[in-house]
Amino acid sequence: MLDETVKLLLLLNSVGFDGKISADLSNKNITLEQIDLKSDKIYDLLNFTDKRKYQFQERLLSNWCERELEKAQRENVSIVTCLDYLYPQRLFDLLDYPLVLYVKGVYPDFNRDNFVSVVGTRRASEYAKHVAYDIGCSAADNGYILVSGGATGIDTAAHSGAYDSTGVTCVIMGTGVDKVYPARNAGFFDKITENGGLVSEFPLGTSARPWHFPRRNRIISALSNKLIVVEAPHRSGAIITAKYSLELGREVWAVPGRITDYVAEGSNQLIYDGAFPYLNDACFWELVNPVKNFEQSKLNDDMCTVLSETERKIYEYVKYNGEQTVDSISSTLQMNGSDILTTITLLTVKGIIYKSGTGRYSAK
Amino acid sequence: MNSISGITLRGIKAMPVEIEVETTGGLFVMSIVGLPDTAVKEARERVRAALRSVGVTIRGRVAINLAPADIPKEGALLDLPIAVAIAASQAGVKVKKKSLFLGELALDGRLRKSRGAVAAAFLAKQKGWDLYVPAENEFEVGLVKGVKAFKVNNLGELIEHFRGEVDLPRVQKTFVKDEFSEVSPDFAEIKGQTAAKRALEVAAAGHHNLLLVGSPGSGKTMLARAMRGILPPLSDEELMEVMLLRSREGLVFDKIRERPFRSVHHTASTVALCGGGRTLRPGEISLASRGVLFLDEFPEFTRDVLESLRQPLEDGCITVSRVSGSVVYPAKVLLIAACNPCPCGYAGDPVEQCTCSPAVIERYTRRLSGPILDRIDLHISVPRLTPEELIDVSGATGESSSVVKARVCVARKIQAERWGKFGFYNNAEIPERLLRKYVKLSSDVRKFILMTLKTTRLSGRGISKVLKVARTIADLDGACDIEVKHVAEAMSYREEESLCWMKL
Repeated sequence: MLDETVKLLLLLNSVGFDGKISADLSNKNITLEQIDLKSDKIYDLLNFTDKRKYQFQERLLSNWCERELEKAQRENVSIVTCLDYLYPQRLFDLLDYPLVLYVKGVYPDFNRDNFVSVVGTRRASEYAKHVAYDIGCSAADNGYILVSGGATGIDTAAHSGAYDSTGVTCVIMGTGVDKVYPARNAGFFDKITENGGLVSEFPLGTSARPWHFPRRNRIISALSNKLIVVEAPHRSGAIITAKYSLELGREVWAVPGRITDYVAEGSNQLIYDGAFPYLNDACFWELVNPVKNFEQSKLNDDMCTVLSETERKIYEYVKYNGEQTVDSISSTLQMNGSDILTTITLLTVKGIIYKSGTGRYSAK
Repeated sequence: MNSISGITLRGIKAMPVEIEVETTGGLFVMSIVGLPDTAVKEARERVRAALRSVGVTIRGRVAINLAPADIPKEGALLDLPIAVAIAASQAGVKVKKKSLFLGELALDGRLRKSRGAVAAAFLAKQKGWDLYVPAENEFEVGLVKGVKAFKVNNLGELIEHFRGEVDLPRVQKTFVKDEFSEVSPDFAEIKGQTAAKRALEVAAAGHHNLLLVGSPGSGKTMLARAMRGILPPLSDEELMEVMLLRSREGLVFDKIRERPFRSVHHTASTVALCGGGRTLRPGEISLASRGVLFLDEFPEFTRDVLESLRQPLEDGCITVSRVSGSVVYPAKVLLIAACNPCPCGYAGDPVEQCTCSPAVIERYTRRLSGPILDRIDLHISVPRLTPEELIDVSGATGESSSVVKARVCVARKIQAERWGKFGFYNNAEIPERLLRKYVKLSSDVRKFILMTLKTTRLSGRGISKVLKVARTIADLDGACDIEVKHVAEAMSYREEESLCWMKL
């Protein structure tokens, strides 16, 4: 038989209540456990609107909770309520913390300190995606768990970085954890659940609605102590998340972007407003983990010694002159297209050059 | 046994049509039976007028039978044989030797140019018949060796020939010169675009299909057009195939060995591209066979059209089946597709801001992805140069098309020698099993591929594409074995690289 309190929390969560009710209840000197699910008093106690009351009653009578739990078991989804000790304690920093969390995949230990959140725009530049990917990799290398949304652009780039470096990642979703949004990430989410989790406060089967995403952002900022904004225009979900983080007293980092780029206006503004600039991996992880020796940052300089003559010429040209096309390399260095393409691939494989636009290349 | 025949076209082949005429007494009526289409039925008026102009007046009930009776006959090619058959039955014209006639009649008895002359010449050659063709078709018929063909200017001349009054001139053998028309633009005229030009060279050398990705105004269309200038000349065998198809459709002949280049607008229907219709006409993919099929704004084509290209691109031929029958057309095309990086065209552009939402890009991607991309070996992104960059590269003069073409020809020759014994001509056609068996990889190359697997996220299919392209690059280089630098260059043309704006 299902615990009455769990049932109550599931039902309340499903009709849209959040942590604010505990404040209401404590004003009235009642605890959650004391509420009788079946009596009508509950509606006045929690100021139910008519719509919510109707939904609540219908679900109560149709054994919705039992079916939800059954479904969760089938789909390998764990359900945690705010009364469980496994529930992420940092979420209580939120006034409107979720009453219930659904986690699909491996349930991470949310109460440790090794969480870092990454947010950014969906319309990210290639540059920003690369930075996000590298942040994902370094988070995994440093044993950190990456928290981000499931959207395209920065979110996916960061997750795939962490996944490729065999790290643990958490996707905070704006849908039920059994739904995939955006659809193209279906395969990717499956891979993530191998050693990470899909997290959501929305009941199973909830589909994407525009207002779900700002709500989910509060979880992204509350779950970890650090937030990195990679690239975000002024009015965007990433900036909303950064505001939540500031309100909660979390550390906010922002990756500097070009001041002329529309997509980087918001993240640059954050730096102006006092966020830490994310200059490179070392400056971030040194603060996190001061003991570790960060030799990786010097990697690029050492790399030059193992490069061949042509590789070094092209690498240095791109590094010191910024984004270049094959044409500009060709006309400046007097090389033919075949050699340049060959060399660029070799440099890409060595991981020190990447494609930053259509036919344009940048050095890392 | 009747000695007068015409032809009707089935695919690119000509089918002999025997013409029988029977005249009985009564008022003048002329009827044609044997599944004639409208153009054939209307031949009555042309034939009657043309015969009148040479002094043959038709009397009585004339029944004309086109045998075999169950095959549909199409087009105006049967005017001349019908006229000759009537003249034979009513005006005492004697056609002793079995002969094939082809041509459309004018009302005054002149002969107009006709479709299908090359196919008719092949048929006449095969059967050992005499062939009578309009003088305007002389050039194409002359290409077919070993056929006894006469050129006819008008019906009067032909009748005099059969009466033994004049001798019609024989069709002279023609030869296609090796010269080329001036192709505009020449490679040397294209400023910058070094990478894309190299990709075109590789595509031309190995007959690889190519996808150009770039913002509006980056020069994709110009590059595709420049491709004509670097393709090797048609061989005799290929020329015949191209001539057959062109003659089937009555297209203009350029008397040169230039490969066909067909540019198709994205509003084209499946039938226009693949062929079909009641008369089973060839589509653009067949008319472009042995040459280039250029599809600009690739994702704007309807899905049906793109999917219908899958099988012909794979097999090199296309079977067009309709109620009226089914025919096989060649479809050995080099596909050049061009598209924008996103619907607005400016994703990844340093100056213009892309205004597409992720959902819109997603939809765009879905149109592009899938089996059709599997058949494209080379992907290259074409950057839209900023004005400053354009000024920078404007001084640099590239190689001219003829220099590149020379290299391409050499590479094609090497491939033909290597794969000839298996019945293939170029690297792009090689099936997987032969590739694995005959493309030897040194341990260095093997090591390099393994090393790159992680950073480049190359799939199994991706690897075989890279190997094919690497083989072509090695051929261009004149190298026996594939080296690391060839594989590295081939990797820069892979799908994942040019489509990276869609990934993640």
